[in-house]
Amino acid sequence: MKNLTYPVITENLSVHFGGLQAVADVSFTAEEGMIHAIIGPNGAGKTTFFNLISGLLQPSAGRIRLFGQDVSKLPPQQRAALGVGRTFQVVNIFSSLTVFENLLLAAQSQKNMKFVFYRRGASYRFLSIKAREMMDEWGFSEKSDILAQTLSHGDQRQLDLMLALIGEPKLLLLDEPTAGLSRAETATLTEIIRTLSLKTTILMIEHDIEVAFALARRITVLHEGRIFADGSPDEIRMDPRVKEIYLGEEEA
Amino acid sequence: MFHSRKILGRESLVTFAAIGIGILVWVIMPLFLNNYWISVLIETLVYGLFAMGLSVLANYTGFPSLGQAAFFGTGAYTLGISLVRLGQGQGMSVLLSLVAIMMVAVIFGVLVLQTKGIYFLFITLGLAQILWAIAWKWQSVTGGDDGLVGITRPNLGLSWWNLSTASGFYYFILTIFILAFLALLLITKSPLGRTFVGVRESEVRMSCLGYNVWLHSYLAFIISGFFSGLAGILYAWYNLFVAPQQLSMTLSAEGLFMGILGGGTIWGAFLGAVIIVLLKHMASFVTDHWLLIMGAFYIIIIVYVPKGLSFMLQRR
Repeated sequence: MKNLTYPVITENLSVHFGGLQAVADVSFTAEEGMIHAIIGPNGAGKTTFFNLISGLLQPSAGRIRLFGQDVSKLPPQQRAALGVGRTFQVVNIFSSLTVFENLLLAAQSQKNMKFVFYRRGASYRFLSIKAREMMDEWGFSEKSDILAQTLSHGDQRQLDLMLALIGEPKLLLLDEPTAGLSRAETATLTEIIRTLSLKTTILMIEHDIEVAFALARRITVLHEGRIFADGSPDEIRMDPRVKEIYLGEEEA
Repeated sequence: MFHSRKILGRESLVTFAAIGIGILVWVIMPLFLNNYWISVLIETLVYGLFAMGLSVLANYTGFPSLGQAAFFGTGAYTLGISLVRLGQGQGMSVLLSLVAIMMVAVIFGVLVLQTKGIYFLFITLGLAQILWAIAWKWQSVTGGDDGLVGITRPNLGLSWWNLSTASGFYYFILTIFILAFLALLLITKSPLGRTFVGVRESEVRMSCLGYNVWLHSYLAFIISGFFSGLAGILYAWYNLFVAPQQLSMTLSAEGLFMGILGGGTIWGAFLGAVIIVLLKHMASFVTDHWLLIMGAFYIIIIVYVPKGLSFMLQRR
């Protein structure tokens, strides 16, 4: 019975591109309400794994369950409707729209209003209120009218995250949320992620090993598309094999 | 603090004022113009509607098509064939034309949305060329390259509104144009219209936010085709004659250019159409080689104002 409530379960999940086995036989479980980090050297299949979970890629073999439901064949929009939000390694926002418009577009997907063509979007007050509240909370009120493409990289990362969050997802996939951020920005975002984890389950790909150790309650190490190690941050830190493939590489 | 631009909010007052003034100008102008210039004004409305329809697909949703004339020609030919060959009344002919336009949109949409980018450009072109070839070859129905003659204008049955006069017909076209224009403005500012821009900006982002990108693109294609097709119906009434030219790639490319010239908004596409139509007429006064002038104009715009005129006006 408890199995059914796991936000993410993958069973022998595999995908290959031509001859390359990008994700191989990954059986993985994420528990509810905690931060679960996925680390591994470049090319380990981390983003591919995320793309499989969010539905951007179809698996070659294996199954994916989200919140107990088999979603292996569902397209990304239906998985989003189940409560999956995600961010991207390369910031993925609506560049030529303002911050406010970005949020409105993300917010309106939640209701049965996305096909309404006979009413001005602006007439949906609750959407603009929701967007404004979020901008206030995140310190974006002054940037409401700025085109997303002119924001600083750090702000774009935050906007990417806000887009994922405005629909209040039950599962949040963060793909290298601190990539390209300054030390100060990383610290801010780390705090934000910690706060978010009180409300939602977070799966996080993290290149910055210190951030991963600081935030995650559980860490899965991917290597060449397979699960190489899995455990608490302490266990991973002590694992000599992990040091060899991942930490060793960093030092070299 | 109310910020926002483009999709909603503060700008709307300015927008409404601009629309009001624009409409007023088009209402008043014919009072001071002779029949020739009234027909030029009608052309701005007809091609303006064509370009605005295309703009929904090309500028808003990010699918530049080289086959939009398919809708224009379908509207024009179906109206003409229904009136001339089938002997139907005006009401029935309009209905048949709208059905034909929708059928072309629904079927072509499924085919063209299998592709992206340059392939989209060519498949839309190819499909439109098929219709062009049918119009060219099927002489008994379409009149072939001689065109289809004998189209008549509707009679509103109002003593004060006679469509056989230049200005009476002009105001008839203007009325339909204004309704279509307002409908397009509403659609592009609606929740659905916003999703079109989202698809243009990032399909992956849209799908991960819960949108069915294919379906939204398909709806954009159909809405776009509907309005461009409606323009074709107006054209048949205006010109009283339909030829394969109305299904040609030249027309599609012109529509695309009007949208680019306008800078990507609905009213910009209309502005683009006004400029192109006026320039065509004026260039043809000056020289028989007016196409050279148009060619030079296209090149200058693409090189120096690639983002179009409304873009220049919006961003100081």
